This record gives sequence, structure tokens and C-alpha cells, in this order.
Amino acid sequence: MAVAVANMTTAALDWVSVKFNAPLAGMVVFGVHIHGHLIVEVLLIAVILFQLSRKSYKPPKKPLTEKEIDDLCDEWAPEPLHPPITEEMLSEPPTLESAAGPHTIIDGKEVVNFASANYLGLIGNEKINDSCIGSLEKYGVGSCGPRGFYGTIDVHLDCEARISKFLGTPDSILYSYGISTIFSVIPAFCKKGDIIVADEGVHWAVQNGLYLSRSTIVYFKHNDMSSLKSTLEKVTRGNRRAEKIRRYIVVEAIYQNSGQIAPLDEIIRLKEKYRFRVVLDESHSFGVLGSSGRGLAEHYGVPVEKIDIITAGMGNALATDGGFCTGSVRVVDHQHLCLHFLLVLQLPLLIIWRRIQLFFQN
Amino acid sequence: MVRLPYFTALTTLFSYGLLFAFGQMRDLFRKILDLPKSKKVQGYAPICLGLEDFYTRRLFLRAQDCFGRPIASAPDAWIDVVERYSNDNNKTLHRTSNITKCLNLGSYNYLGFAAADEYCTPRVIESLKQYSPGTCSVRVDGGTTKLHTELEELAARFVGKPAAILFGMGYVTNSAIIPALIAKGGLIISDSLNHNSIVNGARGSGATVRVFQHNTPSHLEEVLREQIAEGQPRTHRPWKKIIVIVEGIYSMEGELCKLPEIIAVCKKYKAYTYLDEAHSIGAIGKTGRGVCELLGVDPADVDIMMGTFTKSFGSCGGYIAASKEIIQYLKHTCPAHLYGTSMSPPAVQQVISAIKVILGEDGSNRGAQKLAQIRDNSNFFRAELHKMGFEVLGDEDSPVMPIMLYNPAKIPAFSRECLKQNVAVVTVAFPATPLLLARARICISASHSREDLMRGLEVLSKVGDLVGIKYFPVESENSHAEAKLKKLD
Repeated sequence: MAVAVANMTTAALDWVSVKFNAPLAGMVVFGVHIHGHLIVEVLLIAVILFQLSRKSYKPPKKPLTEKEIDDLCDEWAPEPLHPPITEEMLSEPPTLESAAGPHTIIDGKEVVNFASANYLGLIGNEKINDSCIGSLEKYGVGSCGPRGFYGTIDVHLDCEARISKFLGTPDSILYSYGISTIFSVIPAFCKKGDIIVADEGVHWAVQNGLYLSRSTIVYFKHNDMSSLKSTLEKVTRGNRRAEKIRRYIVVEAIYQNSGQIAPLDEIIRLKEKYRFRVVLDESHSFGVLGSSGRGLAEHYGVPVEKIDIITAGMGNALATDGGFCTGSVRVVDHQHLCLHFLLVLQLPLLIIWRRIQLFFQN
Repeated sequence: MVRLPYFTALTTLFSYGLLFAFGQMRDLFRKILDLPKSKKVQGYAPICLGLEDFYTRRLFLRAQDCFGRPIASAPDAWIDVVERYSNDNNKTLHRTSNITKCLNLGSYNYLGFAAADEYCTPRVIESLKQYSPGTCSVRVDGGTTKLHTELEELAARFVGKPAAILFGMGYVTNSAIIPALIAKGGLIISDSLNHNSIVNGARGSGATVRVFQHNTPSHLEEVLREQIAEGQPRTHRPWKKIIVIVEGIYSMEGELCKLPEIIAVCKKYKAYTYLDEAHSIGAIGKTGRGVCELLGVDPADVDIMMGTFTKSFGSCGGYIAASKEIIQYLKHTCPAHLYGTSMSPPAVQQVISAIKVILGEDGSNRGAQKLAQIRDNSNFFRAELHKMGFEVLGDEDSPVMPIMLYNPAKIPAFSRECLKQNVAVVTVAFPATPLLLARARICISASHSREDLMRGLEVLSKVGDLVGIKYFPVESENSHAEAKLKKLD
């Protein structure tokens, strides 16, 4: 059986080869012999080329019709703007009926105030209140315009000069709201592509500033210098591009969330070794730390030129509103043209001018 | 709308090109001259790379003395501008002790509350003595005084909404509220000429942002339809919510927004509306309640109304007015409320007194007088400027009047010439406006008297002729005189 099949296949193959190699099947074109099998190969190539040249099948694109869009719009139901109100959300904070000094009146009762950040007790100071009244009558309450368009009062400029003189830095600039100071300063200096090494425990305003800056952010363990060192090492090692991009360390002097003090001397040592710039937020330590209230640099005995950018909100020790940022002339100049410090309060600023005078007297 | 003639566009582009070329040449020389000097700070990348602050260093610094002029008095109708001089070609400016009294056409003092007022100031002083100038705490931790709760109720009543919440600064209001209301998965559709604070807030929220053509409700409808049909990018899931953000008066255009049409479109497509009335609250409308009153829109139709107290009320801070539930939710979650220092009590008292004056609750009709005055002043001034041939933007009744300058050289020229004649104006250029469309912006106040306005017009006309910004033909008096003569004949 198998032998018969084998014989038949060989017979068939012989017949095919004879036919193809027969003199009729062969042709002579331009002196070249073309055998029969070449014709099959040419036909095959022609079929392949034909298939390749045809367009592949794609289902046709149908844009939505007007009626379909109408239907989709009718069907769509938005979420409500606010989630359901819970019991927690209904609680109201206590309402004060007198100044937020060490003793205050709530609901007719006199209570001791442990909630206000009135570190130097400047609320209710007679001298300050009198000078405020004087400035109120002269300048009014608001400045009715951004710094660039006649909103700069000469007292603001005096205030900036006083702050720089007090802290020992070349120049400073005022902002109009405490928390917006830090979240305007960080995006002004850190752009996309820069590296920021920040402490884990920084407060919301700093975190917002870091988010708005769109730089690469690496966090280190809260107030842990060995973690900072290893993070700096990791970020700079093997990174040849690190020389060209700007690098910052962002820390707070006294952390709002945990109350710890940052070890400035360690940080400065690490910063000089790895060539980073330091951004220090002194909201809670200005007027508090140091023998004359000049902040963390005085507390640790570090020359203030070593810190590149110092920011502070004045809502704490200085009992007013607003913030400032000091540093070298280049740093402050750069901020003049980043339009974040828009409208400025006058009234409280005159207060702090007087306060810094008081510092000098003390 | 701004119609930029071809010839002006060409000359402006040529001017900017020339300034750019000069700036590049100077940078080149600076690089060559600095080459032998070694780098001052080794290993630290520069704060600003070469091209990032090119505009600031080479173009803005040339006209720096026109911006940031310090004043030595309250920003009332007449202000004392402090003179400054520069020894190094405008790079640093030093103050002198000379003061010039100038007519103030630049501050946002719409109702004249900037200076000491007979009703407001005594009450502010009283509140200062009672509550001290600062609270030193955040709202939730003991920064809420009776004044704050009173102002929240009063602001809500003034605007026509059930409840309101206060913030210490207007800019922060927008940047902190928008992320609290909408997050990733939502859509924000904002007008193309919205203020920087809204843009920042929208970016900070994480939601997708789409822009519609300035003040064009039909384009808004197109964008809404397209976006609802498509859904979120890439996943095509339906949007969680859509918020449309518009402003009452656009500060760089002086235009009112087409509120009734926009509200109608938003209602049809179930989108929420957010109205920023920073410039319009207190300044327009028959009783000063803003653009809703002027255009006849019911405040209940707008979901969230935002405003600031800096412009018309002469104080500081901002507010959001919406339904009770939204305000309760915001008080609980908004970071600016939870972490930001509360408004200074005297500033709060100033706003309370100002609103009482406007509403007439102080027992006089000074509020109504002020509102009528500012409307008359704005309309008169605008009509006169049109007659003189200036290209003035903005709608009727709006106290903000931009005058087109276009060429970069005219900006400092206009500003300096006006100052020489004792008129203080504000000029705005890139990046607050598009590059080719620089302008001078006039803000009229209720405390300007008719003589002040006439003086201002006289000076503007003279300076306009000198600088060459009267782009439109002058409607001359001669044509009126001829018509009269014809009648007599």
C-alpha cells in the first residue's frame, strides 16, 4: 500500500519535471535560458506584490451626529459640588469678643488663650495701637492696587529696609499674606527640572509651593540629618547633569506640625559640601529664637549670609498679617518681577515697622 | 474689541524686533567681557539661565521707572508720588524726599473709600482699640471674632446668597477654593482672558482645563458639547463635574461679561458657574451689587460668587458666597481657611462700614450718591476720550478704561509725560497683556470731581498728541458748529 503511494508520487513528480524541463516549456529570451519553474516563481512574486499594494481593511470612522451628542448631554449627570454634610462639618469655631491676647472673652466668659500664636505678647500694646491709629488716618486701610501700580507706600519700603537691617541681609521684599509668601517664593525660584530636597513634615503652604513648582521633589525623614545626608548623596552621586540644574533644600526653622527645631549648623555644612541652596521658612522662629530675636541663624551662631533665602510669615510673633522674604540682592530682585506679591495691606505693616523699632530699643 | 491696524502692527513688531536685537547684542558683549572673570560661585547653577529673564533684563528694565512708583499718602483722588532717580540706567532706583501731588487715575478706588471716611474711620479706630490690629491665629483656632461672623452674614446679604466665607487675601481665595471644589476627573472651562489667580487655582486643582474664546457664549456651548460627549481624556469616562469660570469685569479689557447668555448655556448643560467679581462688586449696578444686578441675572442662578474687598471697599481680603452647604463644606476643607491667618479686625470693620454706607444703612444717602457719581464719571470720561480720538476699550458703565498704546516705546513715553504734567497713570504691557497690545489703563473713582476729570482729559489729550496714540479720527467740534449754522440759515 505505502509502496504503491510512493510509486505514484514519484511518477507524478517525474511527469511534472519532464513537462517543465521539456524543450517546449523552455524559452530563450535575449540569449538567456528560461526554464519552466521560473514562470511559476514570477507568477508567485506578482501575486505577492498585488496583495501588498492593496489597502488594508479599516472600519470606517463615523463622528458622532448632533442628535447623539444631544442625547449624551441629556444623559450626563454631574456630581454635586460638595459631598454630603457630616456632623463634623457643622461644628463652629469659638467666637472671640475681645482682642486675642493672653486673656480673651468667649461667650461672656473670660478664658486663658493658648490658641493664638502671640509669642511676643504684642497684641494690645498701647504704643503700637497709637501708631496704628495715626497711620490709619493718614493712609487709610487698604492700598487699592498692586505693588506695581501705585500700591507701594513709602512705609512699605521703609519696612523692607528695616527688616534687612535687623536681620543683617542685603535686601528684603514684603508679601501681603502670610502663607502665600512661601508658596510664591518656591515657584519663583524652582522650575520644572530642578531638584528640591524637602523635609517630610513641612506644612501645607510649603507643600503647595512644592507642588506648584513642578520640580522633582525628594523628601527626607523629618528632622533627621543622617537621612538628609544620604538623600543628598543619592541625588548628586553619578548625576553629571547635577552641576547644571538648580538644587534646593527646603526646611522650616520651627516646624509648625511638630514643633521641632531644625539643626541649622548641620544643614549648612551639608549644603556647602553638596552645593545646594537653602530655603528656610522662619514663620514661627522670627522674633522667638536667638538672644535678640533674629531667628535660627542667631540661635545657632551661623552667619546669616550662608542661608540663601529666608522667608517668614508675620502672622505669629509680629502679630500682623503678611510675610517677607530676604536674601541677597539678586534673590530679591528676581522676585520683584514675579508678580505674586500683589495687593498689600497697609495697616498691619505700619505696625511691624514700629515693632522692629521696638526690637532695636530692646 | 481691539482692531489692530496693519501699519501699527508692523511698526510694533519692528520696534520689538529692534529691542530684541539690541538686547541680544548687549548679552553677547556681557558674555565676552565676563569671560576673563572667573565664576563667582563655583558649583552652583545660576538662579536664572540666560534666556529665562531676557525680557525682564533687556526690555522691562528700560521702563522700570514707570512701575512700582511709591506714594506717600492714601490712594485717593490726588496722591503724593515720591520722586525717584537712577544712576545706572534704571537698574536700581533710589528714593528722594521730593513729593509731587498728582491726579490719581490708576488706583482701584472705585467708591472713594481709600482715604479716611467720615463714617468708616471712627468705627475702624474703635475696633482697633477693642480687638487689636491682628489676631495672630488662623480662623479655626481662635481667629474668629464677632466682626468676622458679622461680615460674613453682611456680605452674603449684600450679594444675595445664603452664606459667605472670608479669606485674608483675594488672590489666595481663588487659588485655594478652586482645588477644594474640583479635583482630578473634573473639567474646568475658563475664559481665555481670566486672571492669573484663576489660572493658578485651576492648575493647582489637578482637573483638566479647557479654554473658550473670550466672552463668546456660542463657543462655550460648542466646547461644552464636545467635552461632555467625549468624556475624560484617554479613558472617555464621563466627567465628574464641570465648572465654568468667568469674571464680572475683565480688568485688562474693561468689558462686562455676557452673563445672561453664559448662565443659560450652563443651565442647559448642567455645568456649575463660578463668577469672579473682583472689580465689579460695589462699583456697578444700581445699588452696587455687581454685574448680576446690572445685567438682571438672579444671584441664585450663579453657583459660586467670589469677590474681593480691596477695590471698591478700600480694605483687603476676599469672600466666597454660595449656598449654606457649600460654605459649610469649604469651612471644613479649604486650606486657606484652615491654615491662613484670619483677616485683621480693623480691616473687617472697614468693609462692614463701607457696605453699610453703600446700602444706606448708616442713615444717609452717601452710598447712592457715590454710585451715581462713579457711573456719571465713567460715562462722561469715556465719551470724552472717544471724542478725542483715543482707542478706548470697555463697555458703558464700566469704571475701567484701557487706552491702546501698542508700541513699546510709547509705554514709558506716555507714563513719563503724564507724570511731568502731574497725572499718574498706569501702563500695562507683556506679560499681563498680549505682546502687541500694550495699553494704559484708567480707573475712575467716585471721589474724582468734574474739575479733576477735566484736568485729566486736558493732560491726556496733550500727551496723546505728543505721543501719537489718537488712532481714531477726532470727532471735531466744527461739525457740530456747522450743523448749528445750517439750522440758523
